[in-house]
Amino acid sequence: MSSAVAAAGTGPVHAKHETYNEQIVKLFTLATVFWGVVAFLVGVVIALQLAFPFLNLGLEWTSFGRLRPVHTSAAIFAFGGNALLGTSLYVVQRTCRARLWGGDALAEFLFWGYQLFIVMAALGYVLGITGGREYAEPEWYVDLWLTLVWVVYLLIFLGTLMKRKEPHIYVANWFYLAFIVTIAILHIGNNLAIPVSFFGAKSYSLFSGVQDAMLQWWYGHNAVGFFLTAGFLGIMYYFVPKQANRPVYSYRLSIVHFWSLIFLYIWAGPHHLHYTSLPDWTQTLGMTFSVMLWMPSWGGMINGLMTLSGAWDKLRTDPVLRFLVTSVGFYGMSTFEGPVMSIKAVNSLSHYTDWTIGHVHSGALGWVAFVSFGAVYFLVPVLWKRSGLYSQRLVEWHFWTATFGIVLYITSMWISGIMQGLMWRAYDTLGFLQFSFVETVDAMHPYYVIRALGGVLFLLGSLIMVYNVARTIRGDRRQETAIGGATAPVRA
Amino acid sequence: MFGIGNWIATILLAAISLIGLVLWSHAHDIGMEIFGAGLLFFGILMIFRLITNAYGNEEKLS
Repeated sequence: MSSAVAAAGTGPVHAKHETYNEQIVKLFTLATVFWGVVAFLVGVVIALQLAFPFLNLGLEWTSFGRLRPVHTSAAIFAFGGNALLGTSLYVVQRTCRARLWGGDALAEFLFWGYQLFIVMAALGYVLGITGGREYAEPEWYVDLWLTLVWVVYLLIFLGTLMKRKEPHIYVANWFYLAFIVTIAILHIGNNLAIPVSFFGAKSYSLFSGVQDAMLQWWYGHNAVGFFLTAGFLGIMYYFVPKQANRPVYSYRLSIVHFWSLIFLYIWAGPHHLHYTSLPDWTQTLGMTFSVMLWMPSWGGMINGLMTLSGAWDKLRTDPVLRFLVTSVGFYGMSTFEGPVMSIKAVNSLSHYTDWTIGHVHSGALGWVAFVSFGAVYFLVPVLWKRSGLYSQRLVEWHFWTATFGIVLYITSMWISGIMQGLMWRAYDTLGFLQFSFVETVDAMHPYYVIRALGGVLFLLGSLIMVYNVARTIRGDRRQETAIGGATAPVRA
Repeated sequence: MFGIGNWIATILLAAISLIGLVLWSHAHDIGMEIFGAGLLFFGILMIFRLITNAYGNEEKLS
């Protein structure tokens, strides 16, 4: 069954690509590359600000507090969002053998409307306009605009599924649809607010106190679960088999882990509120469901990795596949670490420390960014009808630069975070706290410098990608010796 | 040809532009001013794209 279905989704439809709306996928692909560089650049700036506070420049617009949401939103919604929208519109057309529903104008509205959302949100952060909800900082008017744009996205995606010429709905589309529908519910639920005035930016949440916190982390954790996991699993289920030229390892496993993932994820939010005024049973519920998430998460990882059965040798010669497979490895690692950190005893040490930052970035850089890079490298030659990328060697350089950057980043944050947690809870023989807060901050300085260096390497890797993508689009092909003795892949 | 679908889209985009203009003109703060201006120009530019695309397609066909 697996090979039959995978072939249906990824096989002979290539010949008909001229009937698809590829222009919109091109725009989203370029936006992914552009916003990726912006997100990584702002990330490096704020990492340096933590190590060297004078880089706040004494201006409110460039202070850490305002630039931090610019970084997180640029990474999640601008870079990740454009990657998800672009790949989903590409995959749904190819696997359904149908042009996008609603016509080219509606797709163009989706693209430019989404970019307007990103710009409005970022300008608001810099100007100090924020709803104060993590990963949902935009104020009510930007939220309303995103809702309109998202409904258009849902209509285009669903409409294309409904007019499909392929009887089966390929599993990647299930993940994309779960991502689109659930993000809509989360976005509306979490952002219910009353504006002070219809002509003013400020609003107040409909909820207060512990209910407000609960709702925020119901949203926050499911933004991770459905935006950064389900959506990107959709990318994995299409692009890993395509690049490896192998069918999905187990189609049955993909369905089982889809349903279990979406059922379990929605309950895990309370683990962000351990040892708070949230009822204890709710915290335990969040922890229990987080631990149960191990199984579907690793089901997805195993399915992704085992898709390479019989094709592992390609990892030596194909750096694009290496990006995709390494991303699955990072997915497995961060979805192992997450449930561990949700256990209350572990959380008492890890919470509020840099360990959390390290965990988030092993997922964001290793999983989300790497799988997106792999998809971008796959898409650019296909969309611009080139025989291959400008340079495979540059992809290899990008891969190792970024990987080294991630390793520096996450190891420094693990060490810094665990040290921070241990220093906070250290008592002397008389029962007094052994360290003042400022001593813990001072102790973290070297790790903040290492983290910033890791970020610089990751940024550098993305600039290599920009150059490679630009030269590929121009139609150039670098003369170079093949990696690992293999001939460079050439697309028909 | 500027079909019925394009006319409906134009009316909706014009409404978005008009809302932007009202928000911009009545704004109490810089955030709403920028958002109103953003909606206004977004709507106008999208209508412009609809027109150029429609005429571009006509030229291709002729």
